[in-house]
Amino acid sequence: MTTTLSPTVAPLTIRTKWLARLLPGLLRLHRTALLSVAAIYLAFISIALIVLHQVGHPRVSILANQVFNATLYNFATYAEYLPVFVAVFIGAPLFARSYETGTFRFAWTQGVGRRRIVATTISIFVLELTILSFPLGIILSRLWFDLSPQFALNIWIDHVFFTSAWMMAFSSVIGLLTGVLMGIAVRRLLAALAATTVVMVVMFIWLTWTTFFHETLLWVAKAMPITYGGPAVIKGNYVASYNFSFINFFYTDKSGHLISQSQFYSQIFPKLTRAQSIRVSDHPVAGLARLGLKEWQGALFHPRFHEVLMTWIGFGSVTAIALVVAIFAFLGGNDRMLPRRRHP
Amino acid sequence: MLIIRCEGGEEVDENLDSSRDYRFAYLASQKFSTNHLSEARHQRYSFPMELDKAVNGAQSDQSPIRFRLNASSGVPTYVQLINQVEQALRIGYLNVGDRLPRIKEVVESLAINPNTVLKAYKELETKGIASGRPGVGTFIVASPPALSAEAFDKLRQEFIDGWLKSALKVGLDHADIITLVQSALETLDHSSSTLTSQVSQ
Amino acid sequence: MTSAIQIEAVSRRFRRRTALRSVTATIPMGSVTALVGSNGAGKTTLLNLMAGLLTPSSGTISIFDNLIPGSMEALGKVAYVAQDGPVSTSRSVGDAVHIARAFNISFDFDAAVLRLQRLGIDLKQRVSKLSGGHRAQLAITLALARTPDLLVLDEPLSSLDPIARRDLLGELMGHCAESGMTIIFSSHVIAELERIASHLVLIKDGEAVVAGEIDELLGQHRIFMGSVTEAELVSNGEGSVISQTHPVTLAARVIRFDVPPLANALLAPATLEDLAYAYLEHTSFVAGELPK
Repeated sequence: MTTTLSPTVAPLTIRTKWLARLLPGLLRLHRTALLSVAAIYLAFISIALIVLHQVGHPRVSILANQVFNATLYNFATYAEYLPVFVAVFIGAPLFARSYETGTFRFAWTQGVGRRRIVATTISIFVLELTILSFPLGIILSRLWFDLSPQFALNIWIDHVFFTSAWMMAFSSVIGLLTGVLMGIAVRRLLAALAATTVVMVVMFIWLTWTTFFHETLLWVAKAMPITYGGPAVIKGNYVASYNFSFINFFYTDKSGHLISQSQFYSQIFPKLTRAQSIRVSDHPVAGLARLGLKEWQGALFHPRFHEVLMTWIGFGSVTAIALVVAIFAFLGGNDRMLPRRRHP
Repeated sequence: MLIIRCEGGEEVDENLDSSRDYRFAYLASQKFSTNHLSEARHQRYSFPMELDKAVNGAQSDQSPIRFRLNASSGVPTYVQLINQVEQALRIGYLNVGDRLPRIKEVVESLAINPNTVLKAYKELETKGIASGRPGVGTFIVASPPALSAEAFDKLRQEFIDGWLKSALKVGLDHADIITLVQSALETLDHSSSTLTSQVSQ
Repeated sequence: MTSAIQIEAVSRRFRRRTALRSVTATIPMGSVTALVGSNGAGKTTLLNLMAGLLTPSSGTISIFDNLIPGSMEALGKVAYVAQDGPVSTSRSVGDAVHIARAFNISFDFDAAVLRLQRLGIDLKQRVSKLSGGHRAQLAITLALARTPDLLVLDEPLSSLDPIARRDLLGELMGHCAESGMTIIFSSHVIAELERIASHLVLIKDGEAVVAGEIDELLGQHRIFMGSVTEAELVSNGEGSVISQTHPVTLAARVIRFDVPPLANALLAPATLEDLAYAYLEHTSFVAGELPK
C-alpha cells in the first residue's frame, strides 16, 4: 500500500483482497465444468443461429411451417432441459465430489473459509449461466416471434415462455442451485446425482402440470391477503378458478372453505342435479350464482405489474433464496457468528 | 563419515586419509542406564564425530562440530550433546570462541525437539562452558576442567580398586551399583540446590 | 497468550457411537505434541475438532486462547493435513499449488515449489497418480507454505519411508526452532516420539488418559518388576500402579508417582513406550478378581 492512497480506498481493497486471490484459483479448479457449460450452451446457440439463418425473418412459407412444427419445437424442448443438465452434471458434483473423496478436509481448512469458497464458486457459475442463457433465449424468442404472426403465438405458451431469455437464465440458475444443494446435503456423488434428478423431475411436473401449480397458487392466495380486483374476501364457501396469477372466486356466506375448481368439479359437481350441472358448465358465472355463490376476481400481484411475470419471478426468487439459505445451512462452518470466548 | 570402533584398550585405524584431519574420541567414562531390570549394561562408547575440518580451513560461518545421536544408547539426548561438546573441547577440536551449531541446524539434521538443544546449551551455560549471545549464537567461553587421559584412568582405577571391588564382594550386582551411584548423585544434587537456595535467601 | 489449544471437557457423539468422552488438555504454544492411541480411539475426531471440521457435542475448544476452530481468524492461523493428505480435486500438482495459493492470503508459493522439487515431485504429474507418500508430502508442502502458527497433522508419517520420515521430522523441528510453530500430530507408532515431542496426549476409547509434558511424565513414572500387590507396596501410597494386567504374575509395572521419587534399587526409569503401552493396555480390576 502506498502512502498516497486515501484511507477510504485502502480498506475497500483489503476487504476484497481475498476475492482477487480466490477467483483465478476457482476458475482454474473448475475449468472443466465451466468449459462444458460453455460448450453446451454455445452449441445450442450455434444451432439456433443456423436455424435462424435458414428461416430468415420474417417469412411466411412452407419452410417456416416445417421449422416451427418440427425443428424449432423440438429444439426448444431440448433447450428447456438445459437446467436439468446443469443441475445434475454441473451443480451436483460441484461439492459432492470433494465430500466423497475427502478433499473437503483440505478446502474447508484453508484460510479463505468454506463460505467464501462456496459463495464465489456458485457466483461464477450463475454468472456464466446468465451470460450464456440470454443470447440463447433471445435467439429462440426471435425465432418464435418471427413465426408467430402466422401461428398465433403469445409469450405465455409454455415453450415460448420457458425459452425466453430471462426464464432460461432463471431456470438454469435454479437448476444449478438445486444440484449444489443436493450435493452438499447428500455428500455422495451418485446419490446426489440421483437426488438432483428426482428433485428436478418433481419441479418440472409441478411447473407443467397446471393442477399442481394451481394448488400452490391457491395455497398462496389463502395465505396472502389478495386485495387487487375486488372487495375483501369474507367468510363463505369458495370455488376458485385461476388463470396463472388471476384467481376467480365464487363465494357464499357460509362456513368459509376455499376449494379449487378441480376440487369443485370432482367433489361437488357430481352431486349437482343435471339441470344445475348444465348451467354451471355452460355459464359458469350464472350457474354458480344460481348455486348461491357470488363472483370475486383477484390477482396475486397488482395488474399494473404484469401478474404472470411477477408470479414467476416471485416464485422463482423465493425458490432461489430458499435454495441458497439451505445450501449454507447444510454447509455449516466459519463460526464467526458465535460469540468469541473471552479469556478470563 | 568414517566410523572407527575402539574396543578394549586397542585402537584400530581404518583407511585414515592423511590429507584430512580426522580425529576420534575415546570415551573412557561409563555412561549407562538400565532399560530392562533383568540386565544391566556396561558399555564403552566411542563417539566418532564428523569433524569435517579440511586442512585448508573451515568455512567461517560453519560451526566446527556436527552432532550425532545414538538413539538406542539410553542416554538422554541433551546429555549426549553436552558430552560431544565437552569431548570436542578436550581433544582440542573446539576452542574458546568457536560457535556451536545453530539450534535450527541441529534439529534439522538430528530430528530432535529444539527444546532438547536449548536444554543442552543452557546446561553448558550453567557449567560455564558456553555463552549465548542473542541473535548471534552460542559460543564457547571456557574449557571444561581439563582432565587428562592419565588422570581419568587413575580415577577409574582408584574407583575399581577402592570401592567397586568391595561392593561386588559384598554381593551388590551391577544394577544395584548403578542405582546406588544414581541415587547418590541425586542426593548430592538435591542437597547442593537446597544449599544454594538457602544461601541466596 | 499461553496456550495454543485449550480443550475443556470436550465430547463428540456420532449417530451410533461416542467418539470422545470429556477430553481435557492444554497444548502450550511452541510445543510439539504427539497424540497417541490405537486406531479408532478418537485421534482423528479430536484433530478434526481442532481444525474446525467438526463441532463438539459438549465442551469447548479454543485456539490461541479465544479463537473458535473453523472461524475465519482461526483458519488463517491453523493448517490441517488429513490422513493420506487428500488435496483439492485438481488435476496436476502445479494446479494444486496454484489453488492453495488462491485459498490463502499468506502463502509462500516459491517455497512450496522448491520443496516439491527437492522431494522429486513433478509439478505436471497428476495428483491422482502420485504415490501415497508423495501425496502426503504434497499436502504437507501446501500446509507449510501457509506458515501457520499451528500445524495439525493426522498420521503424517504413516505413508512415508524411513528416510522421508526422518527428513520431514527434521524439517518440522527446524520450523519449530525458527518460528516457534506449534505442532500437534497423531501417531500410532511410538518409537520416534520421544526425541521429537515435548508433550503427549494418550487417547484410549475416547478418553485422554494422559496429557502433559513428556519430561514431566517420564520423571513421574517408574518401572518395577513384580506383581501388582508388590508394586503397590513399593509405591507406598505416593503413587498408583498403572499397569494392571496379569495382577499376580511377574511383570514390568509402571507406577505413577505424585512427586518424582529418588533413585531406588527397585525402580527403573520408564521410557515413553513403556508409558504408552501401560496406559493403553490398562484394564481396571478389583483385587482378587481376574482382569476383564
